[in-house]
Amino acid sequence: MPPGIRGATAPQRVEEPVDEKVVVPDVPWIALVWNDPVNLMVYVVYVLQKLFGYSREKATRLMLQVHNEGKAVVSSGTREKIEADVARLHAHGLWATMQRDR
Amino acid sequence: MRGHWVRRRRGQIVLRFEPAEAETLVEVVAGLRGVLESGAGDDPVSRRLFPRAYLDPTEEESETEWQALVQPDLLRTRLDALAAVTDSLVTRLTTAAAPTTRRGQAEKVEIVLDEVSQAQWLGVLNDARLALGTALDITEETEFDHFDAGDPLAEQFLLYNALTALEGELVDALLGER
Repeated sequence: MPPGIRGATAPQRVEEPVDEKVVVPDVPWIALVWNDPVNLMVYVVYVLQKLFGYSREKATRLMLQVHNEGKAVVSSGTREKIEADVARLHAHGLWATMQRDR
Repeated sequence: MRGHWVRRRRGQIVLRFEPAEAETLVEVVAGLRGVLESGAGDDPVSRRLFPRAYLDPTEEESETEWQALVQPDLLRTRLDALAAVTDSLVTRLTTAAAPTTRRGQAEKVEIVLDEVSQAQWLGVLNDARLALGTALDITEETEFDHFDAGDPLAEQFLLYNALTALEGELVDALLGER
């Protein structure tokens, strides 16, 4: 469903008509990394540390979540930021996707 | 840290290969280049090397825009890394083919990696494993120790295993810096 429709069902308030981007301004986007049978666990840890500056502990926790649960959220933010994060993850061969954080 | 192929020495990362191993790596990299240069198609290997960002089918326009921006850069970066890795191997294979040691053994191919080439080697090895692993349909359940004699795929699986071990050593060496 496009963002504009969701804004239209929010609590009633008299507002000036606005650009639909302003109607839902704060729903962050998230980048997910998905498990795959090729990428080494230690490699995933290395990439998460390198790209996001995570500690070894946090990177390992996220990697284990990917490994055990099939996926993990590795970053969140604006659409633009997350698009860039996904590009960097793909450049390192990780299988990553993005979606709204609902 | 001292692996079979990868060592840290005086703060540097050094790769050492038998000439035959280096030649195999040159072939692997050439194969990967062929896959990349044939363009992003609708086959499993292409889809794995150039995945979608958006799974939501209502975001198709965003996906198309994002791919238009990202895919050419991603391809270029990968091809540049392949060229650099090939160059480093071929250069040293040429010199290693020169005088052998007194025992008649060919010199090892030794490559010292700086920060840039470390990232390039890591990327090339991982991309090669992604391509080969996808082509071999490797899953979490794949077992690597049961091969029928004369199975033509056996060699490919062994190669995949060797690349995995090499990449593992390189990552260990890189993590050792932190």
